[in-house]
Amino acid sequence: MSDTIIPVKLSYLNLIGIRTLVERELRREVRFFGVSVIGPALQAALFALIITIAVGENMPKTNGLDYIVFLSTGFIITSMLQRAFESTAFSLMFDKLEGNIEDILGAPFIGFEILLSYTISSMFVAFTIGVSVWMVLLLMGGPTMPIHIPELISAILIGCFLFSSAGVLATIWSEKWDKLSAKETFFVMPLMFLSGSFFPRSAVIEELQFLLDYNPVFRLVEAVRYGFTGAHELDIWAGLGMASIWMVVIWAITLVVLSTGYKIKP
Amino acid sequence: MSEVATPRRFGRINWIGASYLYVKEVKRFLNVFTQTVAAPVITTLLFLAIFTLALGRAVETVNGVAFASFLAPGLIMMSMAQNAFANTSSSLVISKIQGNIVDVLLPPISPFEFTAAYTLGGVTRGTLVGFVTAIAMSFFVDMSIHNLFFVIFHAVMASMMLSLLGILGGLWSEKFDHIAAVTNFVIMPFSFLSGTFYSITRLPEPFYTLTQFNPFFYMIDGFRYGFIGQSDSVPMIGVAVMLGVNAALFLSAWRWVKSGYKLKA
Repeated sequence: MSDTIIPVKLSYLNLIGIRTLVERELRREVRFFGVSVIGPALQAALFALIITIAVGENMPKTNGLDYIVFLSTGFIITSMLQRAFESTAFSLMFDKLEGNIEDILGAPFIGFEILLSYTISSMFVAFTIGVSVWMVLLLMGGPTMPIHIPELISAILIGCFLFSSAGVLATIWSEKWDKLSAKETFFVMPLMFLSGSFFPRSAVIEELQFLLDYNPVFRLVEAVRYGFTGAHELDIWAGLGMASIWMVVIWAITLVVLSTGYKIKP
Repeated sequence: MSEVATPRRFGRINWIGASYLYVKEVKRFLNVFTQTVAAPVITTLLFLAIFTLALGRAVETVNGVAFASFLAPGLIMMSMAQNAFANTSSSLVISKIQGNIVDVLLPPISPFEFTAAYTLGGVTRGTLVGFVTAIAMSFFVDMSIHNLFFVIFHAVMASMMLSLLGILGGLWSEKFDHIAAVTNFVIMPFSFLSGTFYSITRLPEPFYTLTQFNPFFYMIDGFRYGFIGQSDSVPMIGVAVMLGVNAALFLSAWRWVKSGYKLKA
């Protein structure tokens, strides 16, 4: 028996490392499972309830849909995106402040593998959130089975890629929790709220409608709404293309930042 | 020249100690004011935007008042309530977890002074957030004041009520999860479902009658009365309810601090 330790041979991707990091992220997520899954679902239910009480049966059809269905489809995707952002951001921020980010930086990882791991784990988390929010809204008259699967899946994948890497980027740029939560409040929340999940594009004054067209969240909401119901205001694949451009840009910036070690490596 | 330090003498109330604890509470949130003041203002404005855009087509007026003018006071009240609660509860939970609660328990500060200083800290944050939100909203919504007394009274009383609830929640919680659960399952539903977004006359029975027993309803309704001069309840009943609830909550918090349950080893 030899006493020498043979290093693990890695192929192009450090698959063992990626799997381990994804697993660690998911384990961490499960520890806070209750609050993080029930929170968004409860919030969605509250919004749906308020709106039902406030307007009742007076609500006109929105893009040909019952308002509750219109709202629910938006809610499902925005709560997923927000959680994709938070799950990577909170985990990385915690590591950064506690100093155990060294465990990741010291492992034989390249930036691409780290980012990929965070993206994959955030997809699992977002998917759980999406299903739980959908289930709750289903009880309140929300959308039933999706009909256009490719558009739906593409929107979810693009959204998770975009917002999980945005979470990594925002965390690297923030020294402390308050800086991170400022980025969430001033960038992420407006993108979510002013995205067409609560109101149709036509409710916005015409001069400002172009702002919605460039908001990736609006395009993803449209795609998910189309996936569930078939209703839409703009071209779906053009919208997914627009959101993909955002995704590629943010992912590339994050990759460069992560690979050079800006603000995280001494 | 005496070598022995004599203890400082103070009367019935340790004003220096209590005021320092209050100043510490205020500095704690001002230190991160983007998170504690600016963020709630932005969130509330976003709520205003989505609700007027989403519901404006269906609900033009509530009780004869434009929907946005009806909604604005409710939203201001909601942000005051959530922030007053967050201030006292997070301060206590963080101190308990980090262990620096001993810095507050050790000095000669009585349970009464302890409770009063924390409450005032929460009231300061609540009213400050409310004031800034109201200023920001007045750029977008037609807001006139019908009766200034009701506006100020309910702003202070509601912040006080939520600060006291925050103290009780903070004393009870041992971990962040606990306080997050209280926020998610108690504070959020109550502040959302007590007439912030609609007139409670729209509620079916038995919820209409149940709401009459909900103090959150009176603070929102009374505060809104101060702005629009319209209310779903008799305004003076709201004043009495708020005074009674606050007195009861203050006594409970005071007694709890005195007993030291979940606070002192």
